[in-house]
Amino acid sequence: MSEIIEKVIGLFRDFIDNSTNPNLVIHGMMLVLIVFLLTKRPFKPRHSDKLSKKEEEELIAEWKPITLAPKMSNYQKLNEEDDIVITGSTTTTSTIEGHDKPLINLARSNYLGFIGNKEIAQVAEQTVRKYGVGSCGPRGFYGTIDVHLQLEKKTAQFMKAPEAVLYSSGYATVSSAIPSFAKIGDIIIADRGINQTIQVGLALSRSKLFYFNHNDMADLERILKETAFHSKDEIVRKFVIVEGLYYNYGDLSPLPQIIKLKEQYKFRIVLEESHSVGVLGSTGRGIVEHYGLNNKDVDILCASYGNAFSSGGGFCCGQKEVVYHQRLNGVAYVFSASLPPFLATSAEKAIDLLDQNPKLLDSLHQNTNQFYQGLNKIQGLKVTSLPLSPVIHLQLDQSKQSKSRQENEELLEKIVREALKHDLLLTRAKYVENEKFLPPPSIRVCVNCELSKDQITKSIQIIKDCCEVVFSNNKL
Amino acid sequence: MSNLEDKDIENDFGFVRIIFLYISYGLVILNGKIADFICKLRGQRYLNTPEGYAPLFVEFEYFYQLRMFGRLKHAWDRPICSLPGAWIDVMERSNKHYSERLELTGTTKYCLNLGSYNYLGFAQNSGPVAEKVIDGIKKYGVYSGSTSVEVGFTNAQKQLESTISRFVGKEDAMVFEMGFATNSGSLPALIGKGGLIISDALNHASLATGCKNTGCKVKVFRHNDPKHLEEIIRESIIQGQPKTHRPWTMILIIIEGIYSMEGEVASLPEILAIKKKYNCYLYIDEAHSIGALGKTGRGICDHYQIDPKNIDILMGTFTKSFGSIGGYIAGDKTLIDYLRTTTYGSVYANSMSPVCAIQSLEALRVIMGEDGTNTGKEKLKQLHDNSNYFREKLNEAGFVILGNRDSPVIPLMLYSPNKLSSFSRLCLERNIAVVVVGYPATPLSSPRTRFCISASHTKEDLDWALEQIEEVGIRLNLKAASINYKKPIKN
Ligand SMILES: Cc1ncc(COP(=O)(O)O)c(C=O)c1O
Ligand SMILES: Cc1ncc(COP(=O)(O)O)c(C=O)c1O
Repeated sequence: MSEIIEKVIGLFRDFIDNSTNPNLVIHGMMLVLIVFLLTKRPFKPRHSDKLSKKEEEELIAEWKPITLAPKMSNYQKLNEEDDIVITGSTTTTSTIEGHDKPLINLARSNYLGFIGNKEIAQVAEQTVRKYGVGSCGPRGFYGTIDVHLQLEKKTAQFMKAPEAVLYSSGYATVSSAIPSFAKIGDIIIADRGINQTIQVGLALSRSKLFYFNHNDMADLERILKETAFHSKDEIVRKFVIVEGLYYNYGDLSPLPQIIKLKEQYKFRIVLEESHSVGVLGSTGRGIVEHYGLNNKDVDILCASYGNAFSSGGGFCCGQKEVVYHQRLNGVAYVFSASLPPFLATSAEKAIDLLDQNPKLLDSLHQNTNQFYQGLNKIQGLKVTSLPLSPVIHLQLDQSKQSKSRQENEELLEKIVREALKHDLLLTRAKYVENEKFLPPPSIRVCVNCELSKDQITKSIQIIKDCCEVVFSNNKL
Repeated sequence: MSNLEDKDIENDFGFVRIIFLYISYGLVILNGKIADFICKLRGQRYLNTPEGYAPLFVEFEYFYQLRMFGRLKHAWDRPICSLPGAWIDVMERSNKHYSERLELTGTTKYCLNLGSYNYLGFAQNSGPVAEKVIDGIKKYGVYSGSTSVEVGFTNAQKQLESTISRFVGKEDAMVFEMGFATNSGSLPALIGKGGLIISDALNHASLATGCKNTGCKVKVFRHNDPKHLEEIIRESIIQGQPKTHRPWTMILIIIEGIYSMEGEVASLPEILAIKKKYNCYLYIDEAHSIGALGKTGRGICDHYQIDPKNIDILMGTFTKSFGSIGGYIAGDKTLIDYLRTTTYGSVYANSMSPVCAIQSLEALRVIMGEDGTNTGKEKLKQLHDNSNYFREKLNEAGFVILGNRDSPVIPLMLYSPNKLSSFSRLCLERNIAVVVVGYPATPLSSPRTRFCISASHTKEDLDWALEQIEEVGIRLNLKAASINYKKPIKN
C-alpha cells in the first residue's frame, strides 16, 4: 500500500516540477487525499462483517442451554436426605412420620416454648373465627386489619421504639428494610458473621460493601478509617450492620463499642435481632437492654417474630421517619400480602405472655446454662457459642475433625440420625453451599424454657451416648 | 368488545390531556415547594438529621412522601376490622391537614369489597375449611419455628405440595412462607452467572427483586409483546454475553399469568412457541391466575388448553384464590429436589405456618372437588360469571376497561391523579371499597382503579355497585366518549 502511495507521490512530484502552476496542483492533491481519507473510515466494520441471515440461523440453532437442574453436590444431597415430616407439636416435643414416640425437639427456635402454647392457640382460634386465615391483600389495598395496627403498637411499646412496621415474613424483613435505605453509592460495613438473609439485603442495596472480621472492633475501626476518605466533600450515608445474637455463631455483638465508634465516625447502626428479642435482657427486650444502652443509638432494628415469639412475620422499628419511609419503599411491605391476622394476634399474645411472666427468661437462662455445662463435657464435641446463648453450636473437636468439610458434616449428621433413634430431634445447621462466608459445620441446639431438668439431663445423655457410638464406629 | 383486548389504551388518549396532566403535576410540585419554603422560613424541618450524618434518604423522597403522596394517602392503607370477604368494615380516618397523619376516628363504614384478592371467596371464618384450620392449630401450634430443610417440614406442607403439584400438572412442587419470597428467593437458585433473564416490562416487584438478586443480565421486553421478545432473544443468542461474546448459559423468560395491574392474560401460545423455537426456559408467575382462570381453576394453561408439561416452572401464591398466605414453585422432580437445598426460601426462611398450609390445602381440595362436594365448581363458575358480567356492564356503560374476558381483575382507566383520589373517596362515600393505583405502580399518565371480583359477590351486589360507579363516573367525566377516547382500530 505504502509503495503505491510513494509511487503516486513521486509521479505527482514530477508533474509539479514540470508544471507551470504548482499551487493549483498542490490544492488538487490535497483534495484527492482528503477524499481518499474520508472514504477509508477504518473504524467502521465492513458491510461483509455483518452476519448473513443464514449465519444467524446457524448460531441460533447451535446454541444450547445448560440444564435447569444441575447435579446436586454431596453437601446438597446430605442436606436433602433426611426428610423429617412433623406430624404434630407441643411446647417441647414433636411427633414425626415413621416414629411412634414423641421426640424432644431441640432443633427449632422455640426459645420461650410458645409453639403449642394453649393460650396462644386459643387466641389464634378466636382470630380465625373472626377474620379467617389470609388477609387477601397487601397493606395498601385493604390488607391492613386492625390487629396489624395493634401488633405494630404493641411491638413499638415492647421495643421501646417510637414506631414499628410489620412484614409478613422474617426473611423478607431485613432483606427489604436494608435496600429501602441503602442505595448505590452508600457504604455498608457488615460483620462477616451475619446470616445469609442479611447478605441478600446487602446484595439488593447495590451499595459499596465492606466486611470486618466477626466481632473484631479493631478491624471495624480500620475500615471506618479507610472509608472516612470517601466522605471528604460530601457526606456519604454509612451503615454498620450487625446481629444482636449471631445465629450462626451463638455469640453477641459488642454493641457498646460499636456505639462508641458511631459517635466518632457517624454511621447508622442496623441491628438484626431475630434471635435476641425475647431472649436477652432482664425483660426480653433484646441486646440493647442486655447492655443497658439507649434505644435511640440503634437506627434501624429488624427482627422476626418467628423465634422467641413463635409466630409468623417480622418487624422493623425505629424513629417515625424510618418506619414511615418503609411503608412506601419497603418492597416486601408494599408488594406483598400482609401477615395473616391470626399470626398477628398470636405474636401479640406471645409478647403479652412474656411481659406478664418475665420468669420465662430465668428458666430459659437456667436451661441454657444446664445445656452449656452438660454439652461442654461431651468428648469429641466442643461448644462454640457463649454460655448465655440459647442457640448452641456444637462443633467437632480438633481430635475428631477431618480436613474435609464434607466428612465433618457427614459425621455430625450421623450423630443427628443416631439421636433420632433415641427420641431426640436435632439438626445440623444447614446453609446454601455458595454462601459468602460459610460458617463451620455444627449441630445447632436451640434451648427451650419449657424443658424440665430431667428432659435436659436426658437429652445431654443421649447426645453423649450417640457421640460415643458414632465416634467409635467412625474409627473402624 | 373490541377494546377488551387492546393493549395501548394509554397511548390513544388525547394529547391535550397529557399536557394538562403534566401541568397538574407541575402545580402540585410548585405548591409543595412553596409550602416547603414557608416551613423552612419558620424553621420547621421534616427530618432532623444529626450533625455530621448524611440524611437517611434523598430530599425528593421526603418531598414526595409529604407533599405529593401526602395529599392522596387517604386512598390507601385503609384499615378494616372484619374478614376480607364480600362486605367489609372499613375503619374511617381523618386528618386536619394533608401533612398530618390520618387518625382513626373510631367509626366504621360497611362497604362492598371490590379490592381484596378474594377471588374464590375462601376468606371465610366458618365452614368446613375453617374447622380443619382450627383443628390444625390444636395439632401443630401456630408456627413451625424452623426451615423446611431442617425440621420445619410439616405433614400439612407435604400434603399441600403433593396436591398443588397434581393440581397444576407438574411432577413436584415446594411451598414457601410468603409469595414475595418465593420469587425473590428462588430465582437466584435457578439461574446464575452467565445466564440471561428476559422479563416482561410489567412484571411484579417480587420478580424484579429476584432478578436483581441473581446477579445476571436482565433484559426487558415490551409488555406482552411476543414479537419484541423474539427480537431480543435472537439478538441475545447471536451476540452472546456482553464483552466476552461467550454464549449464554441459559435464557429464562419470566412472565405472569394475569398481570395484576392490567387484568390481562399473557399471550402464552405465542410465547410458548418462541420458547420452544429458541430453547429458552419459561417461568410463569400465576399469582393472580391460579384458581381464578380456566374452567377448572388450573390457571393459564387451563385457560389456553396447553399442557403444563411445556412450561418449565410454574409459580403461584396462596394469598389470592386460596385465602391463605404463601407461595409455591412447581416443576420437574429433579429441579424441585435441587431447589429444596439451594433456595434461600427453604434454607433460611422459616417454613410455611402449618395452619396456612392447611387452609391452602383444604381450599385446594374444594376447588378440585376432592372434598366430595360441588362447591369448588360452583365457586369457579360464579367467579367467571361475575367477572364477565361486571366487565361487560362497565364496558356497555362506556368506561375504558383493560384486560381480557374471564380475568377477575378489571382495571378502569381514570387518567388523572386528581380523579384517582376523588374516585376512591366518592366510592367510599357510597359504601364501595375500591383500590386505586397510580405512579409508580402504573405509568405516570395512566392512573386507574382496579376492581377485583370475587365468587362471593352476588348479582345484586354487582348491580348495585355498577349503579354507584356509573354515577361516580358521570360526575368525574370518566366515560370514554367524554374523554375523547378513540376506539383503537383492530388489526
Ligand atoms: C409526614 C407524615 N405523614 C403521614 C404519616 C403517617 O400517615 P399514615 O397514618 O397514613 O400512615 C407520617 C408518619 O410518620 C408522617 O410522618
Ligand atoms: C404477580 C405476583 N407475584 C407475587 C406476588 C406476591 O405474593 P404475596 O402477596 O403472596 O407475597 C404478587 C402479589 O401481589 C403478585 O401480584
